Amino acid sequence: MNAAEIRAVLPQRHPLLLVDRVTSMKPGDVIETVKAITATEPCYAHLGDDATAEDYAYPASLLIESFGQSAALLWLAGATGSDRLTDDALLLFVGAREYTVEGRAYPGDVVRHVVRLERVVADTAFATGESWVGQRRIATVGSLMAARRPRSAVAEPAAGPTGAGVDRTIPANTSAQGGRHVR
Amino acid sequence: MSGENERYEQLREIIAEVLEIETDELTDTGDFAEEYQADSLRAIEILARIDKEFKVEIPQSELPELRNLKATYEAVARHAGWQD
Amino acid sequence: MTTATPTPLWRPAAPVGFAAPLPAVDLIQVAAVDDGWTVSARVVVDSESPNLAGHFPGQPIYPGVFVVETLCQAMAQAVPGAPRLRTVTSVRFLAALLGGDEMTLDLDVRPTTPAGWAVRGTARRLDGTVTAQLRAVFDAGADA
Repeated sequence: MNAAEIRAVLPQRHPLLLVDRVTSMKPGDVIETVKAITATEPCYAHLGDDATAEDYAYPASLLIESFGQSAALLWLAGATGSDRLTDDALLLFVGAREYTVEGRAYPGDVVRHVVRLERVVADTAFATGESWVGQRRIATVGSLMAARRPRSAVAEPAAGPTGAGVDRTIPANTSAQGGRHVR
Repeated sequence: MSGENERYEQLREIIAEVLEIETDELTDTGDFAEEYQADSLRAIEILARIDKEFKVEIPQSELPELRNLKATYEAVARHAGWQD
Repeated sequence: MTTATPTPLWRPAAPVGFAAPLPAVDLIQVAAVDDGWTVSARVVVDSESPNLAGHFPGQPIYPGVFVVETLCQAMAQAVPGAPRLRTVTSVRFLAALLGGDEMTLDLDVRPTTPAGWAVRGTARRLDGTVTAQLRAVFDAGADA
């Protein structure tokens, strides 16, 4: 998949669309993606002349997001028919376990994510994998959890003058009909 | 240790890990939601971990039954066809 | 370190000296407790931020990973040596943060062996709703 095809699938946009290319994929099983890092990324815009090489380490938060978007591409590619992401649904990052930083990525590096989809239960997907720069592993991901939720249930604009009292907790889909198992 | 005991203790470890409590804090009949503040995502995680570790698929419709360790073990044993 | 410390004041966060998608801490409060620290960080979600324009168009939601960003920036500012993230042991996002929401992330920071920090955190909106819970491990920091 190229950038245009990725854009057609993922709802994120610049500057938070963090997958450049899908290099291989077995839908519902495993995906390999790349994200190239350059010194012109917005996350470096505020750095002054006194910034050290280490200050240019690409932020862990964005690496996690990039991994998560790769997982979303994998999940959505395996979905068929009514399971496809529609305009009134969002994929939300609901949690992670054991994300370990083993190295850093810097401008000029190409990060490669290898993501496996483990299970989908109740519209909640569990993914696992690693991130690499060349032969150097920079992160291992025990488990990343994403959920498909109706837009309306997640993020209604704050109602009333204060927005207080609006329940925007992320509901889990535990209905018997809503989910499915992949594999 | 019998196979049953071993699997029961393995299940206790898995669930304690998901609930982020110590293994000895998880009693046989302690209610996941009431005693250990488990929400629906935790319940889904428990189901997914059972699926992964024991290769046993418990239907999503049985999620409400997985209230405590004992009930969860019984559901796993039923779907796995464990006899011992 | 349990000397009678007055309630620490909120102070504005210093500019972020390392790569970051946004300033993810507006105000910070730090207190030494036993061998560790308690840290609170506050940030207002800016719906005009370019990040939120892309996440998502027409429906700005503070990305969950930015809670991790707030965590990293708060630790770097509050704890001597500027510790760096090693492991997110567990993080759960429980409620959405939208433009105009303010998040407070409260951290309990304990020393580990080998040298580093074990962190437990809870993020809340102003109305008290818990938006995220996390556990993480930080190293002693590049400056340590």
